[in-house]
Amino acid sequence: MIQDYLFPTSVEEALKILVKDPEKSKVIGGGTSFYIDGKELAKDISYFIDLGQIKELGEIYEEDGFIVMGANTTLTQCSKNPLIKENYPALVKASANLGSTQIRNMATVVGNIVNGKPFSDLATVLMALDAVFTIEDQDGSRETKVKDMYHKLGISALKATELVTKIKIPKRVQGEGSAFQRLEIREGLSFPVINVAAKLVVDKNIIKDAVVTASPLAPGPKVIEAIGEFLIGKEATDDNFVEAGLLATKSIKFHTSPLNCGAIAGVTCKFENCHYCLNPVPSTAQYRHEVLPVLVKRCLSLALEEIND
Amino acid sequence: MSLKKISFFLNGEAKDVYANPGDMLVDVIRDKLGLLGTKVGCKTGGCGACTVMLDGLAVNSCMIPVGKVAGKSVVTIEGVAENNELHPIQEAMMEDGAVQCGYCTPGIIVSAKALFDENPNPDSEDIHRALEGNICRCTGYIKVEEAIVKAASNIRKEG
Ligand SMILES: Cc1cc2nc3c(=O)[nH]c(=O)nc-3n(C[C@H](O)[C@H](O)[C@H](O)COP(=O)(O)OP(=O)(O)OC[C@H]3O[C@@H](n4cnc5c(N)ncnc54)[C@H](O)[C@@H]3O)c2cc1C
Ligand code: FES
Ligand code: FES
Repeated sequence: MIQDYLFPTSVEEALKILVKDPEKSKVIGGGTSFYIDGKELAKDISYFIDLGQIKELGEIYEEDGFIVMGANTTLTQCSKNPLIKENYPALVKASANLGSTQIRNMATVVGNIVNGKPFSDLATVLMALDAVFTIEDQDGSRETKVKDMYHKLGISALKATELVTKIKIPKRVQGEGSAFQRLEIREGLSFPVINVAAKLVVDKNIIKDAVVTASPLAPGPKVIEAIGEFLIGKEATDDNFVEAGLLATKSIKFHTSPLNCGAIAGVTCKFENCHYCLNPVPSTAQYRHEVLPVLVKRCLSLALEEIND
Repeated sequence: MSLKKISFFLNGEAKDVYANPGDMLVDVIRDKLGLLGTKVGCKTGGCGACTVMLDGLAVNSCMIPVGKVAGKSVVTIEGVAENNELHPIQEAMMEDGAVQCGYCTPGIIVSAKALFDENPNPDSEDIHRALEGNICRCTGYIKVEEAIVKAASNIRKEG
């Protein structure tokens, strides 16, 4: 039963409250993921610690070659921010399309990663963009990449006494473009069947860097290493992008997400490695493998267009 | 049951409610404050029947613990008409027959109002996006979209 709802006004104060009773406290960003965990939460949690009034977490700015986004940045703010728009077309696309307007007005970018869901649209993009998370506790701060944000399926690697305070993304370099593609059953209010994000750096039509990520894979998204290895040094042509897509499907393993285990209806899933929790859109591994090459090719072509624009 | 006093603005008026801060905003609005215009469809953020405005933005009141709204401004469907005059979107929805069973209607009107407040000149893409989170099982959305386009043009004429 919730005893108190607290609004610390600084990170320092939030950490101080959190450390008092970490097991009975719950940090709240937008709060949009509690519908899944709500029933369980109500039993075990005494304190909600809402970060919404910590001003220092509400800013987006440029610093030392990075764009820094405070932990309170909502998806709506992210998708409309001039610095984000200038630098990361993939991030704009993903944050402008998740859920619905109502969800995006509340949900934070950080919450989308810390809730540990393997289908996270934003984690897929942030991994491709090589984002760094700043995590603080009372002893100090550490930095970590998307791949180290996951402990296991559905559970983040964050300790109960830690807070994510910001996300730093390397600024777009000369010749860089990025893109995001999600396959969805309908536009709006649907979880992704699969997500693909790409970052491409090209100089005189020769590929200098190519990072392609995909989800849902457990526990978080993955970089499809084979694509980078194949594309770097080659020409940015449709043929090479098609080839990259075919390579992709050989080098990662999707799961089938068949039956409703109850996780979406407010019941916590009791299965280990439940493939429904991997992605609440029922779909087969085979189908995902068959569409992956198409999405990879599209993503790379779109990223290339973003450069030439 | 641990109750706390939570103060916020509801449809422009200061309100104090005694509630558990973990209770969902929609339950407090309906059960404690007696405003039944805001509907509950799914309680999982997936239908938009519970849409209200929080500090001017459309949100799902079924996903917001009431503790979160302390000090903020909440506008429900009951606060959309001002000075006894219907909002142009309300007029247009009635005139165009954009309401059938009506269950989704309060949520749709609040979403449309949030859109107009931000952008009085929405194009069809803006309208689709603003209504993405509002499910209607009856109308097929065409009349709803027509009503919003008409309301936008009426607002521009008035403004
Ligand atoms: C109808 C609907 C559709 C959705 N569709 C999609 C979709 O298509 N794709 C997708 O990826 N997601 C989807 N989501 C999930 C949703 O977008 C995410 O839950 C959201 O981004 C989480 O952000 P939040 O700020 O609301 O997090 P919260 O719910 O506030 O928090 C999530 C978790 O992170 C922790 N946390 C939050 N901020 C911090 C911080 N700064 N430091 C430490 N811990 C923190 C919280 O304690 C909690 O455990 C959907 C949700 C709904 C309701
Ligand atoms: S009741 Fe809130 S979105 Fe359905
Ligand atoms: S009018 Fe019946 S649900 Fe929309």
